[in-house]
Amino acid sequence: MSSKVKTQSMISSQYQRENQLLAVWKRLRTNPGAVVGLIILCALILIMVYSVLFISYEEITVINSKNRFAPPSAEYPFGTDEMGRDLMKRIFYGSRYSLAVAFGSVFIGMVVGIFFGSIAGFFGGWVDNLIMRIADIMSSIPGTLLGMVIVTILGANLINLLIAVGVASIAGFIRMARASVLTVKSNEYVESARAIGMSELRIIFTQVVPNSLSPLIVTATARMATSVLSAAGLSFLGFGITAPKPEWGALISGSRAFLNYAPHLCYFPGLFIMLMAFACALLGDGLRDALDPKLKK
Amino acid sequence: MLRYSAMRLLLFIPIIICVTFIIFALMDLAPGTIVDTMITEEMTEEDIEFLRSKYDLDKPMIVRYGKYLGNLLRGDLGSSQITGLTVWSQFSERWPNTMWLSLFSLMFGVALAIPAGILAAKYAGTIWDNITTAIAMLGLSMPNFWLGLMLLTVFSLKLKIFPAAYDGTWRSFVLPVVANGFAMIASITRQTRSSILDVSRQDYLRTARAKGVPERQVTTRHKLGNAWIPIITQIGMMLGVTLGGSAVIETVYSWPGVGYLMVEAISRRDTTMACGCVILTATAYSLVLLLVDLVYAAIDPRIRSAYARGKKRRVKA
Repeated sequence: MSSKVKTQSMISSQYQRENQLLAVWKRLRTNPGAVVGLIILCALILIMVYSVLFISYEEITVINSKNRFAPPSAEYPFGTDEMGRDLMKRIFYGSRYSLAVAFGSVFIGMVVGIFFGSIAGFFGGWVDNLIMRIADIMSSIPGTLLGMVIVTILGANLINLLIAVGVASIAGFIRMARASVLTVKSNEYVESARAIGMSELRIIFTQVVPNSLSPLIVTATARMATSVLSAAGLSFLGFGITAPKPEWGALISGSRAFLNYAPHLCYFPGLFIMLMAFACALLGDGLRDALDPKLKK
Repeated sequence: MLRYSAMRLLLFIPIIICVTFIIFALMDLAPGTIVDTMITEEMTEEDIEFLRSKYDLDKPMIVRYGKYLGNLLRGDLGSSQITGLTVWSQFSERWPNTMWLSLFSLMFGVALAIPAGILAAKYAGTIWDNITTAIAMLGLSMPNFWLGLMLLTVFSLKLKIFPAAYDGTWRSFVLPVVANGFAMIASITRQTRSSILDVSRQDYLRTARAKGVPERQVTTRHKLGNAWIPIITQIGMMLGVTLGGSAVIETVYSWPGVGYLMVEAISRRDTTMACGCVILTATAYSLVLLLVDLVYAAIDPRIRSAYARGKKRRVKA
């Protein structure tokens, strides 16, 4: 009997959630900014898929001394670099790094932040104090600096760059998660979950967190834009993915020596970083409006 | 008020201790030490051992940290392990460059962003609002080092109007200030727009208009007067961010600032220098945040009275 009731309630809650998602999607679709952001993001993902399938690492690193610094042309739409390599292919190949950073680092920050933030908000007391003071300490170290130190320790590669950028976002997510848990935790359904004997941890992660998720999703999407920029910045400084790998920030760093006679080496990677961050920011704004219809008048 | 500031400053001590410990431990965990960067072909084992003991690398990390902390509590930040110059002298020599760059960028950003935000809010929903919002969004998405390099290419290499690197004159400030300030314009504009729109729905504006206050004064006095606080938070945060994240733009313009100093220190494993710079930068950052809090109190009577009534009534931030 009890299992039947449980199944029923699960079905109805799942149904509700789908309905909600559909409503959010409908609102999102009417927001031109969000649609543009989504299209750009999809295009970038398609470029990444194309580069994974058709562009080999050899192809973008092989040196072709006859074609150095060719300006943009029909054959090389973005021109070629100081070693005669096709810049367009290198940028396309580099899309995987930025996409990985955008999604990966935010995922790391969000998971860790939600975990600690919801514990802090739910339990309060000394747990809350401890976690929040740690968050204070983390946010008093400038993000760029923390990123540089982490990459130095762990070594310069993609995974470590993800971690470095992700760690810098943890404190923000902790605060966000704590705040939304605080508003949710006094609701009746938390009380009733406690009444039917759910453990505290289970209540947090099955009742409280799902209901406080929407502000977190908005923050996460907006944070993706910041992460792309700070990862590019770290790579630009040499603390990230380094040449010959065509990470966009590293490409810009490499172009510095040739600004005078080959500025196209700087234009294009920057445009792509900007497109990526722009798409995430637009989508974040759109999601905020779509998830919270109250905000829009 | 004074008591509150004193409390905030005292609270800062444990934070500094933790931050230095984290940086120290992280730098210790990093592969390679300062000695590795000095080893040459002709060094013998003994030479290397001598160097290791000179930097206390033969002792555990906690001993070195204890020593460092002891000196720190006496106000001695130590000296660079590479150049031998004291951290304080290096930092104080470069700090003004970073500080002026950040302040000028902020002034530039605020001067353009607040009018833009007010206009966007005034014409909310029209084409002007959309254009402003779109530009702000683009500004937020633009990597500042890229914008810096673009400006460098156009104004310094092509047109030769401004110098490409720091030369001590005002001309060398122009490009970095614009590159740095652009992202600030974007975020402050957005904040201004949204907090003015928030305030515009309040009843006291209707009251002000009803009693015949001219529209100009409604905007400057009643609207802005109340919309300030989130805008000031945003401005304070932006100042903190530029002070802490100046490394990138300083690298672009070979700017002799603190950020560049830190990048060098970290990549050369100069733990004392890196730690010292972090402490000083984090201190500056926290002082800025404290200042922002005090400014709130100055402009918002509600907050001021909460302070005046003493600790008990203070609302938790």
